[in-house]
Amino acid sequence: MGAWITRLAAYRPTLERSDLLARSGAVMGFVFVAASWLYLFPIMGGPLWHHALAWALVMVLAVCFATLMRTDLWPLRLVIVVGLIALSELLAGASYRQDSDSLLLAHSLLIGATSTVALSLRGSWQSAAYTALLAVLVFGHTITTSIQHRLGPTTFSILVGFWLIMLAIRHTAPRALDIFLRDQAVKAESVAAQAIVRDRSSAAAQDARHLHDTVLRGLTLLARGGAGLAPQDFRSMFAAGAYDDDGPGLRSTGTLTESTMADGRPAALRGGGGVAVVESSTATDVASWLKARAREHSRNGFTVDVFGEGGTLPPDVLLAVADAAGECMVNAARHAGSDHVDVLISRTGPVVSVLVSDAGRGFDPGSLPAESFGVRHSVVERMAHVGGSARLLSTPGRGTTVVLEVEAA
Amino acid sequence: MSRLFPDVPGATAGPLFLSRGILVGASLILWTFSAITQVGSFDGSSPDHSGFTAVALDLIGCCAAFLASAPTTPRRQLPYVRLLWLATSITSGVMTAQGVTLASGYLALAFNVMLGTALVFLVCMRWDLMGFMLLSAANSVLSSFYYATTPRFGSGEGLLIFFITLIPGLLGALFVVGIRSRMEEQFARHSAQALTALNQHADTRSSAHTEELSATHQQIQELFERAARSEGRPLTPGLAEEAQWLASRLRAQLMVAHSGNWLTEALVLAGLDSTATVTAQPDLLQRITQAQRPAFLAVTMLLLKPIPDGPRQGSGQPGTVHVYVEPHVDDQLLITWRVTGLNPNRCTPALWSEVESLGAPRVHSDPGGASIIVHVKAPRLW
Repeated sequence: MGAWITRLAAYRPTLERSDLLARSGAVMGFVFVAASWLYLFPIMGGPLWHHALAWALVMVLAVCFATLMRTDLWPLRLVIVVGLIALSELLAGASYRQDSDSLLLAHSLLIGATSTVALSLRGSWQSAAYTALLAVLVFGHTITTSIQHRLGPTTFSILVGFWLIMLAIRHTAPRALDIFLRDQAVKAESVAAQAIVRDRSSAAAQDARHLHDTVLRGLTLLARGGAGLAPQDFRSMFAAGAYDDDGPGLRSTGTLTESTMADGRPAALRGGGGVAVVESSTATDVASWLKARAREHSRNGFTVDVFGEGGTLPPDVLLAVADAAGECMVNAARHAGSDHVDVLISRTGPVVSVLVSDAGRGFDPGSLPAESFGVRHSVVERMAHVGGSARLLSTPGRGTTVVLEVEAA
Repeated sequence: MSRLFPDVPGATAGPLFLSRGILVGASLILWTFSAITQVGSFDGSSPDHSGFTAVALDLIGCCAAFLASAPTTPRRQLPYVRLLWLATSITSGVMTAQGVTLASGYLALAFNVMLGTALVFLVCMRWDLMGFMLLSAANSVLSSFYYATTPRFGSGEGLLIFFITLIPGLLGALFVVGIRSRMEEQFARHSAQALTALNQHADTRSSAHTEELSATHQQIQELFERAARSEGRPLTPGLAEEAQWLASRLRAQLMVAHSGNWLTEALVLAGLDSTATVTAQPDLLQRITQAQRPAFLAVTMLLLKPIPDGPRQGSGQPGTVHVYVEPHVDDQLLITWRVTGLNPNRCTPALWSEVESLGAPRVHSDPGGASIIVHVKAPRLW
């Protein structure tokens, strides 16, 4: 029995699957038939067998359109065309319709539904010839009945319009869809490329900030012979591992691994004023962190005072604010020519602001070189990385204020 | 209005996937039929002024719909153009309905509403699915209303007209909804494939630089270990010199790592750097916000990539894209895409959708190609 079924299945003709347009044509044809049927059937005249035949034809057409959703095999299209011609004649035959009659529109709609078979046209001469044959059948019937019953050219014109539109759709819609899909593919690629570049730049910037704030500062100190450092500070600074939680370029892309210890708590692990201070902290409020940073940087006559309260911040944001503020303190100590910095913390709603001000020599922010790592990467980009912002307010001779702002939420 | 593809950037453009050429052609065919039946006394009715006026209004409506679907029409003008079309359509429909008698004028009304239905597609080419469905429904109700004002009201034809005008809109919406999942799947698949391929490419590109930086880092660690072993004794001149040299080297490597810009790097990743030239200071490119960057890159890539079975976007010959980013007043940047051989009228809706998400574009065409110019709000970094 199983062998019989297999043998029969082997003899079954290979069905050509309907594409998207052919399936749309099936839906369109069905809706046209249904609309005409709803309008024409209640006012249809003729003997009872006409009604029965019309019902049967509608059923056959419904089945054909349903089948067309799966395959557009050529006999199916022939049955649809013949069925539609027969139905149009039954529902609104020549004896009932005239050019000025309202039946004309419904009849034209039915006969126009034959144009949906044009959506199954393929790029081969056999398919073109067969579709042309179906068109000849429909147009031949329309012209013949129009001449025979002396009807006007309205139905013929509507039919031409329907077929032209369907052929145009068949010709251009696949390309329009291809172009749309191609645009989507290009956009997907652009989104992916942008995401990769963003993540890698972010990771590289983190590495650069880390190296700038710790390693490069240590190297500069060594290059100056370690001047100004007490022996115990010197040892703790260059002790093995004090600088490295990872090597450069080894961090996972776009993460904040550098700012989080293994137990998930943030750790203040940064150099300040040439000194690296390893200070685990469980505090999550901005003031405590900034006061700790102020203590790190207050040395050799340089002092940092912290005022105000800013409440708590998420660990990564807190670390970024503390690091950016620390970098501002370092810059002030190095370049401002002032021996004092004030740090003012305030909170307005969810926004935490940190102002780092000195009364030093100031500078023109517009003249800041593009390759300046200290401000660009260690302050501005660091804040931007956690969704915050940094503004630099400075005038030569009138000091510098850096405004760091971030939302607590 | 809700978006058709909320997760797909720029997917609101051209939601019907129909060629604009087809819609324009179909509309003109229907307008011709409408004009013949109105003016040519095709169905026995006598031509009058209202018929001529209705035909003229239909033509104005066609022009408005043509403008509403044109990719170069600024988006801010679209609501006015749509309103203009609606006004002409309603006026024309009412005037045509007034000409309907018990014996004539019905065909003219039928063609009028069919033309209106075709123009709904054209008007909605740059709208989203909800806008399209809303306008389709409004068109159906209006068409039935026109019929209700005729002496033939009550014969059931109004229902047929309502169906005829509702069907295309309904089918269009079904078509869009039907392939929506396919679109989303395809976008997700393309994104995943692109991420994998581009990540591999990026790994290959960055490996040399990472190795170099790792080597420097290793040397620095060794230096620090030696410094720590010195126990605070005065450092030797050799160690200080080595520290100076390593600091210079590290600084140079960091500079090299930050010498590129995100746009060029993305284009290099996508393999499009040979046909695109970016002229911009890194500072200016950095000012473009993260939210604007995907659209900026998408526009550049859409202009560079060839369309299926055809030449590059809107052109008849392969060309190059020059991207200029210049400072402008009020924290704005002026972005210009200069494309050789570009015909802006043949650019796809997706491109304009992305351009408009950056700002209102201006287009200059010349025999050598075209320039797309857009002002982008990009605040200074500090």
